[in-house]
Amino acid sequence: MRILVVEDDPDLNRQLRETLSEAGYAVDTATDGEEGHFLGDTEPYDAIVLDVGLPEMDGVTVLEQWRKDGHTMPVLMLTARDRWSDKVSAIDAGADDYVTKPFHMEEVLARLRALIRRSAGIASSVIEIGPVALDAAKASVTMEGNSVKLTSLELRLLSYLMHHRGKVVSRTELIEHLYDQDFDRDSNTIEVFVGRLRKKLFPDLIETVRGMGYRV
Amino acid sequence: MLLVSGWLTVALAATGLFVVALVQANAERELRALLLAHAYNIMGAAEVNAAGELEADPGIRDPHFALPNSGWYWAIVRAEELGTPLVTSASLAGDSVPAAVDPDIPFDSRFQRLVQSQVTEDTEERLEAQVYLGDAETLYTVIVAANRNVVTGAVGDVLRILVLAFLLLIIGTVVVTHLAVRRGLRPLAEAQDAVNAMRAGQQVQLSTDVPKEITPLVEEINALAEANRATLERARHQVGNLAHAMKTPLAAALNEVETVDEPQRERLRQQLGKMREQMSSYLDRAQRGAVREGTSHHTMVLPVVESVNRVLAKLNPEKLFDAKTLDTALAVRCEEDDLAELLGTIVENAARHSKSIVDVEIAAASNSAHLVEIAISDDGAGLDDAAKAKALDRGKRLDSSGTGSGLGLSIVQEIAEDYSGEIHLENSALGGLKVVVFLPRSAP
Repeated sequence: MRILVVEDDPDLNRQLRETLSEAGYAVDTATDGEEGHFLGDTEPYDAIVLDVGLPEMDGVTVLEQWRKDGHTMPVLMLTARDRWSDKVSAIDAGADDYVTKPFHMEEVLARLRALIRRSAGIASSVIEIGPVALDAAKASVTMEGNSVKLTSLELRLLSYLMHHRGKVVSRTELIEHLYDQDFDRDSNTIEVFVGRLRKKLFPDLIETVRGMGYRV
Repeated sequence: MLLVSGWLTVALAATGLFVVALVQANAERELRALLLAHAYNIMGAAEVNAAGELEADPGIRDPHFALPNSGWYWAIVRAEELGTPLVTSASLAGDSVPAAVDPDIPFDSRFQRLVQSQVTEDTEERLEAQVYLGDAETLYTVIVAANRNVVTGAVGDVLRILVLAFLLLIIGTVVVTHLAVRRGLRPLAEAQDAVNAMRAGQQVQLSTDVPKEITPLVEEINALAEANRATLERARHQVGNLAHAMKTPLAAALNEVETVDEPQRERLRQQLGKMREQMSSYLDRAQRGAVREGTSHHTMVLPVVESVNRVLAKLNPEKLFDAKTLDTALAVRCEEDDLAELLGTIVENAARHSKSIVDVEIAAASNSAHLVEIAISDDGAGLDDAAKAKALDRGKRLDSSGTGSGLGLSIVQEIAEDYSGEIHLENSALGGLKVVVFLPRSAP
């Protein structure tokens, strides 16, 4: 799962990046509206955290532009303005949810998880496939009730595939959603991770669709 | 009004004096002409008979000359013996000729003079003419007198008519002027009503469909109202900017504090928590106060309810938000943002406590034509009567665990009260709570 954070305050930007990384997400950041808009327009994010008050181009305009260009990724707005008229303009611009400043990181995390789940059409915070259960809120995986220890990239890969259950996901798509912008990408590592997951969980969990990608 | 009637009185009094003076002068001229005519008549009729006695019968028909003490008389005397009449009118029969009041007035070049005598209460105007009669050696004086009451009578008549006519004129003018002024001032009175309506929030601008004399005034008032609104709008924006500027670093600080060791962490947390609470409470008041001072509002309710429902439906996709009204144009005298704040808080509460449905009904209040009734019902667990009473008790939160989990009814009540509205809590037909908001209706 890959997330974009657009926030101009350097401290808040760093805190969001750290919190989201710790929670197992690949995170890209932008500090102004133009850069944020460009990234959201060109990279495939699973969700975006967008501040309303941004330099160069305000958050509402950025969001309106994305929606006009057909981008449907879930967007969580951060706003200092907590009047209802501000909420209405954020939602009308195409936001899926909003958090008013000041906020606790847990709140942002919880809302983001809910948005990602909702956009994948999953109602519960725990996704179960056979004996394997993924709890997005706890960032934990269990196999027949027993906790399984996964690295952050393994968790990301499993989470993405489980969120897109039944769908064939290409290697390129996986790479785009597992790594942030600055990561040195190598498509062979995907195979390594898939192999490890099969070993830690059970072999038939991830099916290889020849020439196309993987499917859970 | 006083000025008009005052000026009119002075002008008419001056005119009256002038007319009276003219009438008097004319009457006196006529009287003298009459005296002279009689005098010539008497001279023509006088002759000295064979016995050397003076005789005269001028045949004057005027009955005044027959009436004793009428103030009208004539006589012929020797010039040297004014007091002893030789011939007189019947009115002076047997009497001596009254002495002139001013006997020293000289005769003029035609041997005539005008003097006055006093027989009756009125003064007589008397013409004396010196003339030779008969042998043309004896100088006689012909005297004709007339009562001056003919002059004062004429003046009095004219004066009475004038006073009556002028009084009618003054009263008429005052009445007509009064009506004209009232009529002329009517647009001002209407403008005054319109300004009052503006202050009461029934209209935003004054109509410019007024007489051109007061058009600049109306335009100035409109410009003033517009400037006022712009200032308030600016104030609200600045408050919003301040909120943003303060809240972002506060958010960063709140999260950064988690990396600090105890016991400093807890202390910092508490201080930051206080800052956060104080700031949002004061900002909220400033934002609401900024737009409420003296300006007028006309906000249609349905679009605000729909926008609130739109937001909550997006955030709660599993729940149904419905808005019903028979009159889509119903409007209240409440600033749009404040109405959104008030309804948003209530509907958000209803959404949180509902199982699946939140219903908003907008209607003209059944008990008053001046109120709009907005009822928000949910199908949640509802509240018992004690909890309802407590919920409306300002500042008390039903649920004080965690942030934003109270009913938020105190802020809702504050807004409603600011606009002279009311909040009632009832049981909804859906099984949950029904919050009824009454707000002053704004006529279209």
